[in-house]
Amino acid sequence: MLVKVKLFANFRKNRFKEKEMDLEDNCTVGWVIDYLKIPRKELGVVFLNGLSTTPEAILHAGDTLSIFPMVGGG
Amino acid sequence: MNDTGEKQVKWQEIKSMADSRNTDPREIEISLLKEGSIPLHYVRNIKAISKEEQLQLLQTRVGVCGCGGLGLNIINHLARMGVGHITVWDPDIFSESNLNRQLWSNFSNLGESKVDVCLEEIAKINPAVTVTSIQSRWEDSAGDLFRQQNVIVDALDSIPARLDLADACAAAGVPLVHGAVGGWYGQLTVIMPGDRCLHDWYGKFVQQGIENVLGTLPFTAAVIASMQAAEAIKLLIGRESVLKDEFCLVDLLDLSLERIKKCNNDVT
Repeated sequence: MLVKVKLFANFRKNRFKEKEMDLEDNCTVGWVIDYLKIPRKELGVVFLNGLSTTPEAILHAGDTLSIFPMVGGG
Repeated sequence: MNDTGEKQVKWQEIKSMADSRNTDPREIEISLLKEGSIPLHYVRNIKAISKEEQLQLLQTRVGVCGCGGLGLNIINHLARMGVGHITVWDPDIFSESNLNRQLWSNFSNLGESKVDVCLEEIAKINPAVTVTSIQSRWEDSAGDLFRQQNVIVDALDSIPARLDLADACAAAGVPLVHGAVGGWYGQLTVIMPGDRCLHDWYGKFVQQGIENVLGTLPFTAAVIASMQAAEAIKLLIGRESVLKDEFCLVDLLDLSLERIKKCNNDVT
């Protein structure tokens, strides 16, 4: 199944900005995060089709997954 | 007089009028704007905002929590725009590691209180603005002081503190303009009372930001601070802000700006 994955800020470095990924059925948000070698400790919010989600959520064909780092400096 | 027949009044004249009437210059500026005259130091604001909106700004109060890379730039903009009252909170003094990004910091004022320097600098930029400077954490004096503000601006530097601030603004019923930076990246949004988006944004994962590994750059802080100031001004004069419903993400490395819809529906 095809899922659109969008990365933001420093998560784009040596990865990509936006990509259609061909994933196995029942693949989770957390699997994609780990596959992309995004350290969980740097993870901010993750949106699935525009709604905040968790690593356990299961992806479906046509979904859009957006992954953001945590930004908190001032 | 300018070409449209409006009287433009120099600061020296405003100051003399205030001294002779034993009142503060802000009151004189308010009277002048009500009569249709424009204090000369606001003349470049007019047209981008109306005289009525300039008058409105002079009668509003903004609280800025944090006088660091974001906060000092925000305060600078608000003072130059003519926001009538600015309350600033920060417990810290200037240190050498602040020098890369914090407006008004320099080698001569290291060790000085940030809010004291703020007070001095605002007096030089726009003496019509009244300032309440509080050299402590905002938590120590939120309550009534928060309720007096028309807008609060989040210029803090830690995620748990930002979440506490959002809760305090919600309790006081005051809109909050959130901004945060890390490296080349920044974000901002407008949080109306009842909007829990910040908890949604920060709440589900860890509580440490990328700024700890990417640092904080001066231009990133200045860009996000400028955008926060613009959002605060829009709230104060009743202009529409799309950021009540969205997060704005700025990436200065590839010069992109993206807006993400918020997912909660409980915004007042």
